[in-house]
Amino acid sequence: MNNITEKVWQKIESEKIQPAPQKVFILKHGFVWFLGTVVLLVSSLITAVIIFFISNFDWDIAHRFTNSKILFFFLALPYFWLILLFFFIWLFYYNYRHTKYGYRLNFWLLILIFIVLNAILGFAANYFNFGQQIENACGEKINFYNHLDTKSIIWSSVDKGLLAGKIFAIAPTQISLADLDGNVWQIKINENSKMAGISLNEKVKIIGQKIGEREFLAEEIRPWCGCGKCLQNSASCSTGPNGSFCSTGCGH
Amino acid sequence: MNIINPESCQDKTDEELAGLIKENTEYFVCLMRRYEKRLLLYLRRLVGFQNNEIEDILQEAFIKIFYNIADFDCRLRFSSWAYRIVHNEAIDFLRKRKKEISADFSAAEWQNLKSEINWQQTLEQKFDHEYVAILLNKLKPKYRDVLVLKFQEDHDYAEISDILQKPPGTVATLINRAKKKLKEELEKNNFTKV
Repeated sequence: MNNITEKVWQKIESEKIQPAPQKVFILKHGFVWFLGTVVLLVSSLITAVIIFFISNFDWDIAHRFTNSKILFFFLALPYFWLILLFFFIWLFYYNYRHTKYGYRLNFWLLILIFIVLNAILGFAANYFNFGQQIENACGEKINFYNHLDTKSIIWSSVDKGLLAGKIFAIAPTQISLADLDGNVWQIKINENSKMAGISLNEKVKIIGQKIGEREFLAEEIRPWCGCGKCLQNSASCSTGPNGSFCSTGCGH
Repeated sequence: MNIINPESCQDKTDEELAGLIKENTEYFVCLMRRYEKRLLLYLRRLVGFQNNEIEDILQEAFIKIFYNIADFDCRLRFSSWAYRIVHNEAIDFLRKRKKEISADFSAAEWQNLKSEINWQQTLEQKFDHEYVAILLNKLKPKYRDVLVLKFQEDHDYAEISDILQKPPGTVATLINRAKKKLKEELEKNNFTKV
């Protein structure tokens, strides 16, 4: 027997080394594929949120920031979710590379396959309202989310006549609102104010102007869910004693 | 020690032997006999250490091959799989010991090398010259790895892809770049085309 062969065989015998059973490898490879599937599903939910954001852009407020709708598009993109999506693309790539034959697939082909699968699942998830539900849950449950979310940042631009928050009191000519940072505002309503059917504890977006310290005159109050477009459609609005009320038109 | 007769392995392929190990672990000895010299030579070309260090790496690699034999998939060639484990073991060894592959070159050595290598031919043909190993040490590991496997070990692109776990297209690109880098290295050291 050759020198190294002999030494190795002696070590195998003396230490009673045995080959690992096949089930260990089946479990190991199965776990990698399971992780890959989880990553794909989670990234599809992230994509659903991004689709929800983009499909509910408030294009009519673009002029308050820039004259270009393209610039506004890039300004209002949900970067927090996009960065998260890129992280998951990397995670998927890393995970797939660790499958048994994952190294054989070209990087760009793998990314293309991921994007196609992710888009299909993302559109499906958005169709079933997962995008909106996740976005709402993040806004309510995660304290710092409002500082990362582009939409929240845009709708906290009081100097540009935009304010958002949660309603905690409703009076005939005034609404009390806690903005996204928790500051209390008195929102004045007059006969020219357009409103969706608002209710207590509802999160809303307000277009108007600051008229005093923590006082804001509302021209239009929209539900947070991003359906500003519905207010431009007169067929969905009706006039009430304190302004026009419109159906939210949220969801699918 | 009751070891299987080497002659009983002769008519069997590597892949068949790998399958037989599940029934009788002694068949692993046949595989080790077949690969010991090849893999030692490969390690010498790849990392260029002292014999005892190379032998340590190979012993550890053989143990890993034995332990993971149930993970061997017949869609691969056994040699590719064994080379992959040996390659990874060598990289781990380098990382743990923080060892660099380095070759010291004196001016006189370069002069000798210059007169002995028709470098354009060696690039087109096989890297069979011991001096080329010294030159290879000057390249980045990713370039050295593919050149050693392609021109010294005679593996094709698919096998190199399986050994280094990189897509075949990437392997082809790396080989082309490595050749270019090697030429640059030669030119940098005042080699002229013959």
